[in-house]
Amino acid sequence: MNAYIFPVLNGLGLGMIYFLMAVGLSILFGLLNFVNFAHGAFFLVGAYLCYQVSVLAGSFTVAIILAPLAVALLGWALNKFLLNRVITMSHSAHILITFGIMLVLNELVITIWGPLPQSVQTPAALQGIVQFGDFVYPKYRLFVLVLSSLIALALYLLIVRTKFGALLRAASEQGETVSLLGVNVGRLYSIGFALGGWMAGLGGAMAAPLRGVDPSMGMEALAIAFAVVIVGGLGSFGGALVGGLFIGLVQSLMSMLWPEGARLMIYAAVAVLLIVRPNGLFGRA
Amino acid sequence: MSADILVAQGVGVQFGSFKALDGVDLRVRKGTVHSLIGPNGAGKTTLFNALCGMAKLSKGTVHLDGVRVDRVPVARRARMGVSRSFQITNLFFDVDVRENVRLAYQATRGLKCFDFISNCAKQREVHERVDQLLDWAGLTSKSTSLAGELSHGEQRRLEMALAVASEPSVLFLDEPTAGMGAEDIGFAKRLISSLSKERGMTIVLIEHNMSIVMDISDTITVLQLGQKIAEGKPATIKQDPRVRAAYLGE
Amino acid sequence: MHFKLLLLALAMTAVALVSKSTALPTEIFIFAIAAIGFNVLYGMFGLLSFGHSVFFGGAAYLCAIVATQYQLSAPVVTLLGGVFGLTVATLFSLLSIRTKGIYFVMLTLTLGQVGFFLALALRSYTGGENGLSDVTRPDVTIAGIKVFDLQDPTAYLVYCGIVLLVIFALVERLRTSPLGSVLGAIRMNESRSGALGYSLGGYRLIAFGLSGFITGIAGALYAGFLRFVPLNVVDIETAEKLVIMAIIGGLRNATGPIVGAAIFLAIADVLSPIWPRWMMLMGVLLVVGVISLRGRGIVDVIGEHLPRLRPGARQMPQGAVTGEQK
Repeated sequence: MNAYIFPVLNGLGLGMIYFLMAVGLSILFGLLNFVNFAHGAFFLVGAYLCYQVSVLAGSFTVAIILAPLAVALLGWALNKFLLNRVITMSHSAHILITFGIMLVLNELVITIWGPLPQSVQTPAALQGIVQFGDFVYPKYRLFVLVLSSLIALALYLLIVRTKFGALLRAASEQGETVSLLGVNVGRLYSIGFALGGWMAGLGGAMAAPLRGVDPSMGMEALAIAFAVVIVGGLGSFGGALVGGLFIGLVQSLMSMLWPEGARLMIYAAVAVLLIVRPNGLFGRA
Repeated sequence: MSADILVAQGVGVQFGSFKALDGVDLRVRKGTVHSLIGPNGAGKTTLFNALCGMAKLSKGTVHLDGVRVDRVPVARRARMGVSRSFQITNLFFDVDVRENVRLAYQATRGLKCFDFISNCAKQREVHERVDQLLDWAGLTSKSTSLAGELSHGEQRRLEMALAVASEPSVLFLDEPTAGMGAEDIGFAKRLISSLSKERGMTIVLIEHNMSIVMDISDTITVLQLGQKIAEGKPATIKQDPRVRAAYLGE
Repeated sequence: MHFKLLLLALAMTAVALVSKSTALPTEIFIFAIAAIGFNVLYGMFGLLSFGHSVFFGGAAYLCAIVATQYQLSAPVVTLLGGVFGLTVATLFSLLSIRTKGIYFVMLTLTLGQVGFFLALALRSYTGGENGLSDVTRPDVTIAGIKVFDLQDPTAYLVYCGIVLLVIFALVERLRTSPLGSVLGAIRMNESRSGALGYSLGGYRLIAFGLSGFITGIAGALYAGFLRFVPLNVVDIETAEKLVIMAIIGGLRNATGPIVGAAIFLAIADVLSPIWPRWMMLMGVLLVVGVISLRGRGIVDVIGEHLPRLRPGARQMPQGAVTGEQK
């Protein structure tokens, strides 16, 4: 039993990061009917900025606060100056345009930081292990698990309990009606992009000390985010959560049983699921 | 009984908990014009969708010429002789009128649809038939215009032409004259009439234009809130108090 | 059509003569074929796939292994790549039969990832990260006797060129044929096509199979070209390339992907030694292209200004927004 606790906890932690990464993508689609292929880049930039700021400021705390905010700004700016104009185009157009943006951002990251991976120091305060009697677990991983769960809870409350959340949900179903009510739908979208970017950036920042940073993170993150929303369905908070945890657990357990095939198994499982449930577990078309 | 080409029994269509149709029976006699009327939200288009295969039945059956078809997918049902026009104009807007009609006619040619060698533009026998259909719909002068560039009335006529191209056994027309001007409406009415009288086609019609309905229908079925409330000849329906209540009471 | 074919052959010869070596033109011809294959599914039928690397790369690995192990004639090996692509694509099609829209695109990306990690896992066959080396390039033989030697780079260039011409002719023929018109109809308006009696699943199978077949052929040629199969043939990078080539070139006929492949690879060839991050330009071109040209590619735009050279008959005019099944 003991042997499984670590992979399960690691899987949950990983799953929560995946959730943070994917929920922005899912909400944006549910909200705006907009497919954002640049979403992986948010994760990437979040991770790299976290690395850079922690090196410059010497403090991980500062980094983990600033990096996601910067990515939120990036998301907001992208929407305001570019994506706003293309919202009326077809899904394929969205995909291709945001894909192009992803390429540009990817290359920019390599231009600034070089193509080689870098490792990121776990903050001093979070190094080492915690001990509960017989049970030990790395402090940082526990931190990731706790922080992301809190964020998920906060997001849930935001969506379900606040007027803003209600507007978000309403706009996703009936954008036109909501705008007729005098609500500035454009502003809603800006916030949606900023929020999605913030969360993906936070996911990247948290992941940085765990696996270092490298340029291929962005595309990888996108593929995983897709896998998550495929499992959970686009437009569903609960779905993103279930999907993220599912993928995280599969990956973690597989790494223990068949390390080589861990990633293969994720994608194979996801492909099978999508074949059986064409709109994911909770998704809407 | 044997003259019934389309028989729907106890048809129900449900979206989640909402019952769009609840136990509707319909018998359409071959070669007749059978109209469906009723206030908005009565379930007329849903019934169409159910009969054509675009909406899944939650209960009931549909038989076409004695053959059970409610599980048959849309495309196969179309090839069995069911054809429809759409309430919201649903054309191939980015190609010209001739190509629209050609595509509709081509669908009837079975295995020839898989021909990857011939040149569509050079198939004389196809284009002869297309010419006939264009002439029938009064669209010959517009054959090279893009479907998206036509006036609304012309588009509605093209809608009908596409539905008629396959020479169906049962033709479903969903509000064919919606949004048409007076002249177009007269033209459409003559077209529908001639299909029934001259070609013996069975037509199921949804219409809000009562003069057309009363003039050309052999049978009228009245729906309200997903159920049938009256059925009979035009004269009978005109007098039926329930029908008046349904329309005036709304 | 004969005129177009002649024009293409002349253009290809010009490109070959102008180039410093045979490597770039050969690569252009091969990726032109792959892009044409991709475009059968996207430009003609409206399904966007980020997973074509599976057909391309898988065929490359298979044909590399087979050509090295057995003495087969080049056309046989090339066709084998096509058959592989056809088979896997048919499988994809059956698996994805109920999947639509954005989920479909995501599924293709996921299947592409499956292909990639599978290639990594099967490293005893594929060589894993190091790729497969010492691959034999087959010659054209009849009953075991060498008829044309393809080891010479110019000979292989001509071979790939001929394959491109054949594929081009086939796809152009398809485009103006009844089958081609149905594929286009489904792309433009799925619901109406179904209502008219066209079986959507059946045509998807055909479009997919053909697309896989052509892309597989390109993969086979690529293995023979490099005499080596790098891991990236099955990477998302390759799938991305095909998408970009088709978009910038033009979706409405077979000329677009050829032009797109030429432009992409020419830019890469010129820029990559001086600016390693040239992909950034591709990203920008993609964004600009899709926004300002409303999804039309270079060939489409040229066609609009030169009516006589306009690609496509009345049946499939440009002006339609980026291909997508409605």
